[in-house]
Amino acid sequence: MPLAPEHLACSRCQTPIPPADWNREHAFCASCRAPLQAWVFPAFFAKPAAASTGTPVLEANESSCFYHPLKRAVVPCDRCGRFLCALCQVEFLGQNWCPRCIQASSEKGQLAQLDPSRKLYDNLALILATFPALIVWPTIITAPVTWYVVVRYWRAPSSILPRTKIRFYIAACLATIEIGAWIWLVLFLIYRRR
Amino acid sequence: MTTQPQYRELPGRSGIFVRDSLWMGTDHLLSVRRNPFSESYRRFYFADIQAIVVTDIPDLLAFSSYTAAILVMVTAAALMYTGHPAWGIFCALLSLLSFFVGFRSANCACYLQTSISTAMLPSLRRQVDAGKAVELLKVEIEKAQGSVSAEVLTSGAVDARAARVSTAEAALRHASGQVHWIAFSLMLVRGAVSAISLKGVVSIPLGVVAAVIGTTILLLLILAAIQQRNSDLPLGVRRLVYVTLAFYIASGLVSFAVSIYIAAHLGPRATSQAMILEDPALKMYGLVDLIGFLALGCTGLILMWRHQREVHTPPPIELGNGG
Repeated sequence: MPLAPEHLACSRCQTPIPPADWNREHAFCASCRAPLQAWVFPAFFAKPAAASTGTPVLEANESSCFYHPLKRAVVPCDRCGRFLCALCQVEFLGQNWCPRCIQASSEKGQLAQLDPSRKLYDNLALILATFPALIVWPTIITAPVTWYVVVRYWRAPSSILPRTKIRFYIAACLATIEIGAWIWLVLFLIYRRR
Repeated sequence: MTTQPQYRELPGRSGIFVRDSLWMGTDHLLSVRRNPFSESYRRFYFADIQAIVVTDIPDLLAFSSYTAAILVMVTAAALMYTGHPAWGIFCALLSLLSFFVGFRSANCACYLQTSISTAMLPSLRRQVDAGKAVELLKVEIEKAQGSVSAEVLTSGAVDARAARVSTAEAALRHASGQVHWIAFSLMLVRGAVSAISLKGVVSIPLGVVAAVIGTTILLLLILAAIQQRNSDLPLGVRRLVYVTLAFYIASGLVSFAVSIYIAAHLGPRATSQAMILEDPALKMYGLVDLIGFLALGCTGLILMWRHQREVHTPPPIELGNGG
């Protein structure tokens, strides 16, 4: 890892980059002489804000946090309505969320903004439909499996990037052709024997 | 509620089966690694990005690939000419593949820093792509954070961080460049010997001198390449040494190919040395060799002379207002 969080360093030799070379179009590493550009933004100079731990409930009629009964509630969750203290309040997508709602939505795949990964079922279907066809005989198994993948995952969340369903369509067409070809072959063999 | 963010792709991609790409959302940068069956995401919010560092890295793979591509292309042409079209086409395809590999090789590394992590952006591996992507990113980051003024950079805000970098200059080692001087000078001598050979003057002593000079240059270039690491020699000189080494190797390989070609072409018909020397392929090779050695030697000497002048010229005297 060439950079430590607290300073900037050359990616090649890890020599720190002096401030005189920051935000310059053309600079060179003082050690390895590699041309480099180090772009620094205001967040680099900002001191980390102290995290709020929430204030304790002082009076009996004060609302308390759902998750921390001894902490004073400051805001309700915009999803479930539970009262939250400053520690539990999460600002997300312009709303106040509680950690449990975020976790639940994330687990259901409802929040593309938090997904760390996505399965590409359309690619899986396309590969199942094409590669086995190169050696022909596995398609007797993979063609129905392709259809299963297409039907089962047609509505499953795909990539969060712009992506069409063209792969699903092609996979379904190929799988149909392969199944049709097998049916024709079986019928051909049966009628030939007769 | 399913919210699908909108993204637009930034320049730069890497990999074939595992592809990396960068996408820009409304408030964050998305680094995507796409496997055949899945995608993994990493988000960097514009408000959290502290710095972006782009460093050029030596494009050795590209250089090797282009050299290999040229050599294979020459081989392909020779095979076509000698009546082996199938192998010629195969070599031509290999040459194209080498060109492609050279074209796609990485020549820079881009790192993005936040307060808690430093991450490499694998898709930004070409300088052109990195330049375009960083320009687009800078606009979005400055929209979210504002820009750093020159006063901030020079004020005490960076003093604490700057303290850690005060020893950077000391890491450089001074190199006199004597080996470079000798090597580049000998290249001119080698060029002169090539010129004499090209004129048709061939003798055993001249061949021995050429071989000795050639070997000496090769050894000196290897020594120079070792000596110049982490030294204060200019980048141009250091790159030229590598280029010259590559030229030397390429020259040797082409010489070998030309010899085989002449042997195959003339064969038993070669009754005299003059007949071999008059072969156009050999003359062409000699001319390219001569021009190459002279050009590289002259460029090296000029670069060394400029460096010497910079090192030995004192800084200008600062005159007062009255001056």
